[in-house]
Amino acid sequence: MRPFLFFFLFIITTGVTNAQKLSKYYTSAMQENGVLYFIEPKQEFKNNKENSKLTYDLTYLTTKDTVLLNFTYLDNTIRIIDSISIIQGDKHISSISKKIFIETDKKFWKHRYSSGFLFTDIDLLFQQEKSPKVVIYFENEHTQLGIKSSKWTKQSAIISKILMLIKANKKSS
Amino acid sequence: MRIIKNFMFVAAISLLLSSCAVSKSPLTGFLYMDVKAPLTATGNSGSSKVGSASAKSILGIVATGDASIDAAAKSAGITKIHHVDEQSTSILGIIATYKVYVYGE
Repeated sequence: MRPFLFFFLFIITTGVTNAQKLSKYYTSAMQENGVLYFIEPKQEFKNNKENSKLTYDLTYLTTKDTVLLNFTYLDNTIRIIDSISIIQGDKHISSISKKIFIETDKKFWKHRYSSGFLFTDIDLLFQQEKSPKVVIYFENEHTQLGIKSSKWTKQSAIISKILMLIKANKKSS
Repeated sequence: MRIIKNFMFVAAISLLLSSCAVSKSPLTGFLYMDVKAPLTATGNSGSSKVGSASAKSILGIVATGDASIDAAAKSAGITKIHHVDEQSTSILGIIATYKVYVYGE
């Protein structure tokens, strides 16, 4: 029995060590005009009622003011997305969305779009403990997606730490 | 003596499993692997976009995903590729992932 216990403790330890590793969530590349960061959160926003999902990633070049938020929106229906808003309490930030592509993914329509947000707004967003809502605006309607508080707590802690790292490197350069 | 026995047991199981789910990498780690490496570079200058694509294997029995350079470039709308990196991760040979990062314009 003890070897099995030892084995499972080993797996759990490996998993925990892995989860705490910050470099797992971002990459960075030196450019002539700054450092290019790419952040990939693992958690997704969902709307269980409409059976839609949203995953996203963030790209930031340190000499620019804006962060590129590329997102994949999965829906049963094909949509034309106009813009995206992130609502957190009484604050909200919005941006026009630019289409990258639309394709099918099994029974879903996979919409890949890109939006730009100010770095300061994104930084502030991930410093908040309250989980935000994402609103996607289509031609004539909109949909709202949310994330579980526990997932947001984990996700915001990781991303705010990466953003802190980016800010620290910007200061020294 | 018991600790050595336990360690040998873990090592044996890990070695058995690590032969199951593996992903392409310049280095191999039987118990745990998280390796980033270069894949290719082009003569194009500068990058402002990054795209990624990945594929996953479970126990070497099921493997799914599209980790092609094309899929990664497409995800960020990249038309001029600057360089491509790959990342391979594996935990005890149970789950292995292979990820491609494309940098470009």
